[in-house]
Amino acid sequence: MTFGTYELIGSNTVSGSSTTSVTFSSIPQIYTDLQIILTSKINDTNPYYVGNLIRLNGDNGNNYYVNGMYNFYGNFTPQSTAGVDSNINVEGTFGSSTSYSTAIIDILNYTSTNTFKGYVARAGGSGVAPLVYNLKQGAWASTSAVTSVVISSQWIWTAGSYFALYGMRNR
Amino acid sequence: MSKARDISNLFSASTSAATDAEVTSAIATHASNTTNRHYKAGNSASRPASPNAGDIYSNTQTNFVEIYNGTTWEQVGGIASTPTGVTATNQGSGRAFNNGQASVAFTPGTIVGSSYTVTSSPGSYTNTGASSPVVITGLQSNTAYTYIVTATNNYGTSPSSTASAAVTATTVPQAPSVSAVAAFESADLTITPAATGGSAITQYSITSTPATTTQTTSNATYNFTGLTAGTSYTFSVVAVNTNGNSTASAASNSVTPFAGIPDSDFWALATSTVTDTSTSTVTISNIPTGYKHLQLRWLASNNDGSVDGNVVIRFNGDTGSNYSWRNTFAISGSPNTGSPANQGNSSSSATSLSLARATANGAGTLFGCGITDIVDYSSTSKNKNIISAYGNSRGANSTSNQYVFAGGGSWNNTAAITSISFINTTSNFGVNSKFALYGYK
Repeated sequence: MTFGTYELIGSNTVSGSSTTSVTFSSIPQIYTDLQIILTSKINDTNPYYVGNLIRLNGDNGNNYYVNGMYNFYGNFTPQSTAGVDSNINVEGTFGSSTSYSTAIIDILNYTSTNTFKGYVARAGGSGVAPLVYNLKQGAWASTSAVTSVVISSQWIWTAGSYFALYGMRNR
Repeated sequence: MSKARDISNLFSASTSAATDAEVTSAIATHASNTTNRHYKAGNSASRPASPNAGDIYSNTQTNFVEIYNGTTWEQVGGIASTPTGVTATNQGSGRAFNNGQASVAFTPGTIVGSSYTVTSSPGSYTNTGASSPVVITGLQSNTAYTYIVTATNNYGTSPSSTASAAVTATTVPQAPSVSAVAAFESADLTITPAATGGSAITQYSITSTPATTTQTTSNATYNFTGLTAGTSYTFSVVAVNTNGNSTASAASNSVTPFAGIPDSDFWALATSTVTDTSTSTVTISNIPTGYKHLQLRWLASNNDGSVDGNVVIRFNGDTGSNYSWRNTFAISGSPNTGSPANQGNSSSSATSLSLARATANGAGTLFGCGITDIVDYSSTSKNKNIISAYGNSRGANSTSNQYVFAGGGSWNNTAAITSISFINTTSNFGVNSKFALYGYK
């Protein structure tokens, strides 16, 4: 068996018109870090920015430390947030028909059973105003190894929204 | 008048001196003969008021025969006295698991024994010796024992002594178990410790089959390096404490370390994990050329649990004023505000890059983390650009400030980067801080 440094664990491309959640389960415990790359769009034009919510191992408790800063809606003063939350919320815009929100979320040392899991999330939207860019950093306050990732939205994703999970190994 | 001579007459047929037992037996016989006995009998208070040396007295209070030596009544024979002053000392060095040893010392009584028997509680482990101390073995590891001592002579065995204070038996640890996962020319091992033997495990000593090097760690997870890709290995672990080495664990599952995918464009180059509390600088050196860019993925805590560590980055050991950097950040939910020209911190002639941070981490579970990219690191004609996104991972329940940073900078030097140092200028890094380096083709 050949192993790589950076490998695609799984991906999901939305094809229907009712998808609000994607799950990657039974994540192999053979990597060091996880990376989620998503590009998504919703079928509603009302919200001027939307969040994709990341949860680990189905944990919906307030166990996600978060500190972030972002710039949205042409406001050049960086907005910021901090606290604990029930998910990792990466925010983008609803986009036009061809413009999607994008996020890259790195979860470090995800197999550890004696440390919290640090993450760095970078996300943004493009295409039409309002734009948003946000950087969030924090930790999932659990010493459990990450075995599943759920990405969800309160809005229905449009077809073509894409979610991928990668594994990355240390040497 | 001499009562001693009377006793001698009782054994006139004997050609040798009577033993104490014979004397005692004979006197006991005569003591029952109230009409013809040749000595007095009674309790201690009834001893003759003005005895002569050599007078014999049967003490019915103590059940011993006594002979007056001209000064005091001396007891003839009798069961050995009960030892006193029993103390135990653990002797765990080199002792196998569940075969502990203790040395039990005591003070013999007035009538010494010809042998002394020590018995433990619990377990009733026992041993007999001619004098103090007596060594007991076979003790269960990490178990507290008290000990009693009895003395024995020709007349019988004394009552038990008062028990010693409890002493815990310690030994070498019980053999651990180990599992392995293949990694890049190495194996990631997870060690499951068994019983400590009563003394904390200080280290694990690991060997591979086929043999390579013996490697040691104090952590339960370890990357065993120096293996050949494509070769199958198993691993065995010995746990060490102050008493010595456990027996070796059973062999791990077999794993086959791997090389990178030959056409991979993203390579794991090196990882440095902090394993002690005295490390303030982590350096990844001997960085190979042959890649275009580098990425550092790091987790860092500060061993001082009350404050964050300010972490700076240097290249090739350069401590000159050859670094420029700027960052913007948010602190505890408040954006760093100011004029557009001052949306963060910066320095144009710094001696390092302030583009990392180590989280104060008293519990040992929380780490700051970041991803730091270095562009065109092996160029010999360009200064090197760095981009970093990072923070201290804190939640709102933290008593310390929460930070998230986005920053960039440059090392104003055209030399290829061959080493990268993370330097904690506040304190030392916490255990399990980790710095992993990747190369982009």
